[in-house]
Amino acid sequence: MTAVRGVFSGAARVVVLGALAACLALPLAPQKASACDVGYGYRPRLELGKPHLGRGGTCSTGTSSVGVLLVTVVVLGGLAAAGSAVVRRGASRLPGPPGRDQALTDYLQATGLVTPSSPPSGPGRGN
Amino acid sequence: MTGPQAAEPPREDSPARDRALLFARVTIALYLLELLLNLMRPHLSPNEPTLSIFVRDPGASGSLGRLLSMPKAVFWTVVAGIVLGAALQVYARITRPEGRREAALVWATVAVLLGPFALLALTVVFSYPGDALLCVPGTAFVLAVLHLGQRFGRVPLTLLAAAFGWGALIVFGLGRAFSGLALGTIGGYLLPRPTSSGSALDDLNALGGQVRDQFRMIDLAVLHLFVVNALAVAAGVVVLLLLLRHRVVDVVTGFVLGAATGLGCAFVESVLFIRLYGSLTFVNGATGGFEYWIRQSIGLLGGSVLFGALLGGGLALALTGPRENRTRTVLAAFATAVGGTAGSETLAGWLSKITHEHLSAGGTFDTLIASPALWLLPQLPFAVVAVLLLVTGLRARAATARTAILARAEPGGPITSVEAYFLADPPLRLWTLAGTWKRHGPAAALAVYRLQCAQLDLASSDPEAGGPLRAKVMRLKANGLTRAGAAS
Repeated sequence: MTAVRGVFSGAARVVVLGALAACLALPLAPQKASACDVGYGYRPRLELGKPHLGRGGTCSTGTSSVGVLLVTVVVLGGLAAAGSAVVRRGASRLPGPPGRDQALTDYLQATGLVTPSSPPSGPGRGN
Repeated sequence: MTGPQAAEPPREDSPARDRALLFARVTIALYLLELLLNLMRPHLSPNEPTLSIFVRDPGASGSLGRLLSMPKAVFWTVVAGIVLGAALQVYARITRPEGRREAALVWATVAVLLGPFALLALTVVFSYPGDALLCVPGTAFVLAVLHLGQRFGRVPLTLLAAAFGWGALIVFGLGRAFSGLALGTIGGYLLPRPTSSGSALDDLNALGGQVRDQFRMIDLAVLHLFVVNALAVAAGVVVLLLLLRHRVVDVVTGFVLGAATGLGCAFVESVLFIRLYGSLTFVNGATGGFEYWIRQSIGLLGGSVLFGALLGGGLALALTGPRENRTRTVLAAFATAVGGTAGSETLAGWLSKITHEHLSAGGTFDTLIASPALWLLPQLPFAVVAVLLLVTGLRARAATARTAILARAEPGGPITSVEAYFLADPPLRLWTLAGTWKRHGPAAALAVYRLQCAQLDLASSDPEAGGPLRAKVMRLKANGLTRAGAAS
């Protein structure tokens, strides 16, 4: 359980640091900014006197894919970290590890899903 | 996942049915009015079709043309649906059926009247199945979050799917059908007839004026679209809330149903935007991939989902709150949904215009930061309100659920006192699932999860209608870990 917790908190740190780096690196980099059209309220502006009708560039699919990837990693990492934190919070409301094992046994027996004689059936538990 | 609806008795769904029929009738009456106004509009050119929706943009052909105009086949199906719906209502008036037959006839009438509008959404999705498939993962993820994030008694998955389907098929379809007509009608009154003075300068000035008029026409049509969308979302949420009235219905229920409805609409709209804006890159700087990034990734929870959630939460608040505040709450929810959507869209466009005047578009910073930020920034105040509404609703739900769970606890019953202790505490509940997975494997954890869901459904149901749910819990308990896991 400690190892799992370690992996989760490590992953959470990587996700948070990655998100921070992405948020800071891009605004700090000296780049031109504008907005490609997104929705109904946007008005296309074509300037006849300028090259490419005043359009400097496009918001490309390649760059957008990087954004999609980053958001996916941050969201999934955030959810995993939040889930891990909630499980830890649940465990902290119970007594120490031997007591937690007993609490789980008591709970499962109360549900009726396992009887006092049922052996553990999970992987690596002699199933 | 919870599937309590399978075990519940057939319910008297008369209030939901009546509201659905009323909505269908009002919708058709308003559609006929839109048709009449469109028929009576001033024509801009002598060869213009009787209905503006049949005008084909000469630049848009093939599948793109189908996206921009209402296919004639769809229009005539809508007309046939109206005729058939009217015939069904006359038949019902003459034969006066009762019981299940009456219910079937009413739902059939609603389906016949509203169903054809869904063809517009289906046309978009089936014209571009690849784009639609790309939008599935994000949409499915948000639906899963909406389902799993409710903590206590959840909206049944079938109703969540129904809300999504209503948004995707009916809200999108009605929005386009109504606003397509409105665009032509407004254009007929607002746009001047094309003339040529012979002078190039005059022609250029006239062109500038025409562009301004076109933008005004689009603004009005878009506002019209948001009003129609909000009304359609509200109708779906109200009908679904009435179907759920045997359970504890609160702000979170409406919030979730509204968000799912908005998500459905956003799904089809995303396909449309990916195709449409992606094909106009030289004008707007956007590509299909960029629209996907905005609509199905960074901004997936914004727009229709956000405002649908606010509208749904507001309607549930009105339904469950004091009767004297009902009208005020409903109006506030509508004003937020329509005003918020229109305001955010306009403000985002205005912010974009300001940045255009100083800097050029495109590039990594623009794609990943500036464009999403400008679109999402105006929605931020509404997102804060939505979060506050959700947090308050979840707290109230937690307090109600804890009381209900403890009240249901009985030795040897569906919820024992030991189980109640764990059930009433979401972190402890998740801990039991993680612990069971570790000790007995995933099938056992799934069996525990199913039992907990059934117990929470029982606790959040009307005590008088809880018999079948109680039986379901006892059946799950009797199955045990192994058989429940095997059954899964």
